[in-house]
Amino acid sequence: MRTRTIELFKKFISVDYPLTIEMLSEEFQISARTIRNEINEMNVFLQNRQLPFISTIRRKGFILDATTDQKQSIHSALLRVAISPFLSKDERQFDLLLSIAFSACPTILTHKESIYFVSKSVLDEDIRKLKARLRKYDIELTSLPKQGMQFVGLERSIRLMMYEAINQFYGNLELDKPLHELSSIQQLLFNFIPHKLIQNLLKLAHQTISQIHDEIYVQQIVIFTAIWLIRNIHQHHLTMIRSDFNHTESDQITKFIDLVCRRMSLQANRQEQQYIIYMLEAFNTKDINNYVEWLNAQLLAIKLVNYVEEKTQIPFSTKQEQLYENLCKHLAGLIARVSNNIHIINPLLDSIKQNYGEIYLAIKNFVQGLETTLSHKVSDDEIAFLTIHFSTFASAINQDRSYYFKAVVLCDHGIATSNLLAETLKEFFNIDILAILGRNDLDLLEQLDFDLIFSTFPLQHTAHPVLVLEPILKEKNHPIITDFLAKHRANQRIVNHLADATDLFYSLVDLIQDSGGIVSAPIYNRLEQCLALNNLKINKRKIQPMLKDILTDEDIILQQHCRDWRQAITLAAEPLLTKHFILPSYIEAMINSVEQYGPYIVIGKHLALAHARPEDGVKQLGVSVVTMREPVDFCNPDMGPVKIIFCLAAIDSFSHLNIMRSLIELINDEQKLDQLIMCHSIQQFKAILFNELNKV
Amino acid sequence: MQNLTILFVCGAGLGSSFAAQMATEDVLKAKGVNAKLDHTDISSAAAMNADIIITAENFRPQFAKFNISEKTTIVFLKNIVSKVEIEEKLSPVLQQKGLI
Repeated sequence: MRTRTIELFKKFISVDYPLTIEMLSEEFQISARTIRNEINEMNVFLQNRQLPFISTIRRKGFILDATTDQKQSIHSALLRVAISPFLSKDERQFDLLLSIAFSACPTILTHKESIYFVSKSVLDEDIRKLKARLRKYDIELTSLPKQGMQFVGLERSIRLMMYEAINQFYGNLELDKPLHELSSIQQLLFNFIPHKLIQNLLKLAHQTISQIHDEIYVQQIVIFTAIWLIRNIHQHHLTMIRSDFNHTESDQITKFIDLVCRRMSLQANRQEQQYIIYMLEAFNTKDINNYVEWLNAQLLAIKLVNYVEEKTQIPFSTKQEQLYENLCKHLAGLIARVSNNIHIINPLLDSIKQNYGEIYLAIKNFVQGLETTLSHKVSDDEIAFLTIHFSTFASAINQDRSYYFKAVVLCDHGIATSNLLAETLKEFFNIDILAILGRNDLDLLEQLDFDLIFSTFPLQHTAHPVLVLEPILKEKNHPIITDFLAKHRANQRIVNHLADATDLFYSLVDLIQDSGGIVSAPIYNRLEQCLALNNLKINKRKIQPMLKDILTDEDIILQQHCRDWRQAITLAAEPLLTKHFILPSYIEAMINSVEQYGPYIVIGKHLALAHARPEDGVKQLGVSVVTMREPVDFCNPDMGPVKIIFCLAAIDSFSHLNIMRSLIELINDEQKLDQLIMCHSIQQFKAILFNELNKV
Repeated sequence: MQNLTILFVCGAGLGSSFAAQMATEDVLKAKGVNAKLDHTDISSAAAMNADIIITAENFRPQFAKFNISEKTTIVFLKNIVSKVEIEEKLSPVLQQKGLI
């Protein structure tokens, strides 16, 4: 119970008239709500002791209606109650951190609310502060049913974070001070780490570690060991299995940890033992002047790995522990070198820049952000050394990852046989079959996004590797396919491990918001990037098709006679109307636009590009073309009368980019334009337009 | 002045203006000028506050009716895909804005 509650109690005992909320609130300087809460708590106290309650008298206030004897027994009961002190904001935060990190019982916020006796909103504010503090370490705070508040993040970061928090909240570590001399915030630590444990660790450290004379370091070693011990006891272990610790272990530290484990009967696994020995040794590293630098190196390594991973999309965190270990050591040295203006030369600099450019650049960007904190420039040689740490792991990661090929099956032995071949390929190899095509569908190949072709007939195709197979795949032929796949390893793709699309979802929501409903080039680019970041492939050729992808034979009308420009535009649009790509309103809009603004659609010599807005009646992206036997006058003296009209039906302002490119190319090629105007055959027309004359 | 914006304008905002934008892209690339290019239809052009507006000669009467900011330079082209004409008319404007 708090002092305030007891004071309130005394007030009620001392008077025999009703007390109003206003009176109490003024006297005790607390809100009406808090008073009600206090009264509730007092009533629980009274109920447990079978004493009369504090009751309400309508319009008059609260009264404790008890006899003098009863009041006397309340008074004596109050004297036996332990008083719990108020915690300050810092104390609450420290207590929360300690409780979440070290308590065997779950940390439940509603409990804490009543222990601290603060309102939910005050505690929410505390939690917000904690979250902000944890962000620096990439640790999140989450609340789970039954388990209460939990840290979510790398165990390594959690330990470091607690270590720093203890140093900060506790102040100078003087762990051997008697408990009653400690401040209230210092006492909190020993609610979660037993005082006796710390004293034992101190004794062990003094016995074993003679190489460190500075008492400050002994205290730091003890507190870090305590964090390690308690986290281990509560089964919070390092997440990754590390295989190589190739540094020389200090005998003294090893002995210290050995003794600690024995004394605490802790069965720490080898990985945990190596970890703690490494961490404690680092306190003694010559390169590091104080624990702040040591801590910086640790944090820097975590951040660097995360940053490079984000930039390169190589999942370095799968090798986190090993990489981290190497980086920490290196960074500690690097900070010392940079601060002392010591330059080292990296003979591999150029080759590293060339071969691992992406990683190198990511690290360089990261380091540039550091230079202000370090107040020194980090040389390219140093960055190249850091790159080596990453590149070693990048190749290891590549070997671990699973790959697959996207393939097309070409087969003209009927559907059943083709399907069987496709199924066999899928079953025995890392092959995903994108499409099964016949001999007549070969021109579709260009529009598909794939890596390999398996065909039952020989074919001339140079863009992708081709393997000709029997339609019925026998087992003895499997090595042929294995060899083929090995030979074309460069074409394989990484398996998409995207299981959770939540991030993608949020990115898309942001994009929609930013676009304001308008599809523009930047939005297109961002959407592409967003999908690429999530390893999702799109077929760009389908999104921004080429002229030859959408201009079919039916879209080409040659050598027509037209009365006037209106008729010419209507005629040019007819194929698109027939295919229902446009509505009749679109034709009207095209004509209206010329009537309103003039013949600006004549964009080249003898060439007009008839078009209007998507909302004027476009259903699907399309292009059609008409050539005129006799030129049609559009009243544009600069370009002369029109002999060829392209009709464009665009669905937005960007997807017809490649089509526009072809048209501009055409406008600038007068000779080709003349050939097209003279042309009488659709095949010939296409051959000229698509630069495929040699094929006809 | 890195973020020069050039707006290409035509009746529908996606055919001729887009074509002019592509042609201009090449001209700017040759000159090594960085600019943000976009295309739009004539009804939204006045509101977009571009540094330079490039459009076809026939839109001159429309632009005369608009209240375009004094800071915006309007370039009218006879042939909106002619790189020669674009370079000829755009260069003085870029010079005046101190970009080349």
